[in-house]
Amino acid sequence: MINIFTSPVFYICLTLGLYSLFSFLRGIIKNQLFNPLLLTSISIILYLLVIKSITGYATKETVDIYTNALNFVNFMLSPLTVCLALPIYTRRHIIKQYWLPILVGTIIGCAVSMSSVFILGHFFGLNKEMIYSLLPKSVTTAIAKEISQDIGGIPEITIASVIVTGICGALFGPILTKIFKLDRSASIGMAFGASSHAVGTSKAVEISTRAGAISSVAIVTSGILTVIIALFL
Amino acid sequence: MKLLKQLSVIAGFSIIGEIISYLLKELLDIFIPGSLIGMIILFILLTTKVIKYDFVDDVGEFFVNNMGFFFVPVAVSIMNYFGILAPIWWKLLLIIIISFFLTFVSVGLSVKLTMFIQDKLRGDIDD
Repeated sequence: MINIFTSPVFYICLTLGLYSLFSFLRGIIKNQLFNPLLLTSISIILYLLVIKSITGYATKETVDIYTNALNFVNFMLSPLTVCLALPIYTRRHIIKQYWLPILVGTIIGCAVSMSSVFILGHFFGLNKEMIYSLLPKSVTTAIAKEISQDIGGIPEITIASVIVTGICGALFGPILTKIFKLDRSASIGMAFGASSHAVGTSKAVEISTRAGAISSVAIVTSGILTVIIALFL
Repeated sequence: MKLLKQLSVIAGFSIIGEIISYLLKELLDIFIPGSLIGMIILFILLTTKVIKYDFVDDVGEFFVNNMGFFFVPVAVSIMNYFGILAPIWWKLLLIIIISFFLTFVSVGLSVKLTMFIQDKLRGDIDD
């Protein structure tokens, strides 16, 4: 009986079902903190903990059965990143108009994000592997995972830090926008996009459509620059 | 049929990117993820109208809008690291929050300054 509830088909169905459900609810609730990736992952972790206690398997074994069932998504990760060309293509007029603010924001964003992680990481006495896992936290999931693998971080921890960074953007971004009087679309859009990727962008869209468009471009430009900086690590 | 065609175009770019990435690694010893190279080539070909947008739009937009789904397995695998994270998770959280503040504020202010200078030089203001 338990075999049915740990079978690949069940796991695929469960993941698709939960993600669809949370995406649907996200559409109704309209709050960035209601993040489908976060909520689906937490639900499945709780489910796997229950399965673990019933079957008596080790954590690694339980997780392996799940990730093997969902193995097919790994084939899609590379084409997924390729698709990031679309949001910047449809916003090419924005790039033309705002190339200088985008360039400045991207460079400052990557430099501050990566150097602050590096300095704070040493300050808190983290090991190299942990610091490298946090370095790409400001860029979009697909690119962050690639960078983390390449420089010797732990992709799982990188993905978690990317999610937490996104939540920071949705939580604190609007307050910071007011405190520092960011009133222009370019400064709002770049701040959200370069610091907190897609989650921040969905918050920037609420402030203004143009800020959202600039923010979407910032996601990709920050991703590219972070990859380039990571070459030297 | 249309979706499969689009999927094959996108997967094709991903393969081309992987091949170039491999060559760069072998010949020049620089590592750039193949997917990123594929993305840049696709962007250039779309902009130069070599490839029409409706060759990739449906599948591409689906992927962009539902990207989170594909990262559920990696996110769930963090269970394997609960032991390592237990004593240090608060440090990581603190680093992420402080770094977020610094990044957001420095980008916001530097772009604000850039826009201000640009307006002065041009003498007009457009949002």
